[in-house]
Amino acid sequence: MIVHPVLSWLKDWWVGIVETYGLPTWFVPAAQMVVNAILIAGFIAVLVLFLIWLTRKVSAHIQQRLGPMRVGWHGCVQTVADALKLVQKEDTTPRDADRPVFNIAPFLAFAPTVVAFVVIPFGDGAIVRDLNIGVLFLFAITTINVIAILAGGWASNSKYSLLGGFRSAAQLVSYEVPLILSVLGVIMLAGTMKLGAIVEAQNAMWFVVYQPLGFVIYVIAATAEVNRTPFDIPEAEQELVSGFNIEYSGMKFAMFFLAEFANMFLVSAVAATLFLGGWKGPWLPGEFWFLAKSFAIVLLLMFFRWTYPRLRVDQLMSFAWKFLLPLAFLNLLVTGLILVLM
Amino acid sequence: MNVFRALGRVIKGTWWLFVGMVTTTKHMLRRSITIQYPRQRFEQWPRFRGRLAMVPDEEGGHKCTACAQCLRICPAACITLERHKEEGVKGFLVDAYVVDLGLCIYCGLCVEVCNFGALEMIPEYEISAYDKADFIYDIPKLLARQLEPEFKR
Repeated sequence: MIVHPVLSWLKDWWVGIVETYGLPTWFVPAAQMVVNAILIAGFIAVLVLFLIWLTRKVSAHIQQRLGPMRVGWHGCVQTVADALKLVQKEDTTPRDADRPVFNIAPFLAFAPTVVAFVVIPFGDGAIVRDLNIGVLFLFAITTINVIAILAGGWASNSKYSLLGGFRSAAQLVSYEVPLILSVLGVIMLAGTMKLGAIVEAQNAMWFVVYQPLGFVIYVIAATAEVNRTPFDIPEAEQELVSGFNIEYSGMKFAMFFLAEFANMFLVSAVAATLFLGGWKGPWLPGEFWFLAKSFAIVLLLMFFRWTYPRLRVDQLMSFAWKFLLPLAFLNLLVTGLILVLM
Repeated sequence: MNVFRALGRVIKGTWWLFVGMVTTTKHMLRRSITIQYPRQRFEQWPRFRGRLAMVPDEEGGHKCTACAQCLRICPAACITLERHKEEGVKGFLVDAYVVDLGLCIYCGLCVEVCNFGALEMIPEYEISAYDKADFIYDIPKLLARQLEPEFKR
């Protein structure tokens, strides 16, 4: 509703320029790709700055503090100041670190998150590529995060970061299974993996009504996927200092941070798209509804963080394999049965 | 039977998870208990025992008779007194009465022991300074009240 006209206007303008100066025709899609990439990267940057501020504010108010108050109105530009400080910091590498892996890990963590935003429908027509394997692509690409975290933990050559990386790998791999199984119910209902089509299929009723169990499993598994409390053992401060990212500083640390918060928004956006009707909503533009639903889930994750204590490693594993996985199968079975019988 | 017990535990656990969320939500909606310190301040109770001060008499002078009882009882030995005797005057005359607040432990024994009500503890508490010399309070400083606290934004 908002993004689509702007993008098509930009395209028309660019096509006009290409035709006027007689440039090769492949300039048009190339320019489109660049514009899309810049839009998504800018969106993620602004989003993460806002999310960090929101996290600090929400956590502060839950603990009956005020949180950042000095920089700007209620500290709203505090994160910008923090980001500037992080950029200025010295970029250190431990002496015994595995240098190439150490240097590439933060970018390996951040890049898949950016790529995953390609298939998210932000609004009516505001989707970069509505792939026919959208959901599969999404989960396939975000799983690369595990490798980045493990690589970062390993390459730092520190026992804390290595333990954090191992724990993270075990956790992410375990929770990936119920996560995808919970999403399968939605795919069965919609009959497609195209995210745009899934949103269209929720025209009459949100899928959360047909898939309440699937939604609950998705939210729990997604919380574990993005390493939020109560599943934050990869970076358990009291045990591991900070997990896989202890040895990182400056811009590389900022990349891990960016990836973490962008991932948090990504799983929320996917939950909003798959279960809460995506950008569909009355009166207001689709972009507003998409952001509102996504931020509702983000707030839910933040409340989880300040409400629940951290699980032990064995509890975490048994919860995933003995509880969530059977439930996800049950959900799948019931959904399939109903679809066949109806 | 075991299945039912496990199911009961699951339902109970879910219920308590919900109760936890309600609690955090309630706390979020409550007023913050912290304040923006240099801009806002807590109001002190009138009997809050802050720094040591001298009680001014009607003319604004001090009531000290240089009996040195406060010196005797002070466990931190932070009070120094200089006095002399003059012909025809009963008792001592005070030359200097100096309290080193850097040493003071805020026990209030000097206030208790003073027979003439010359000392009190006032609610002032922002007495930190960059220089140790600023902690040394002589009679005019001890008589002064609520030095307007300065802070930079």
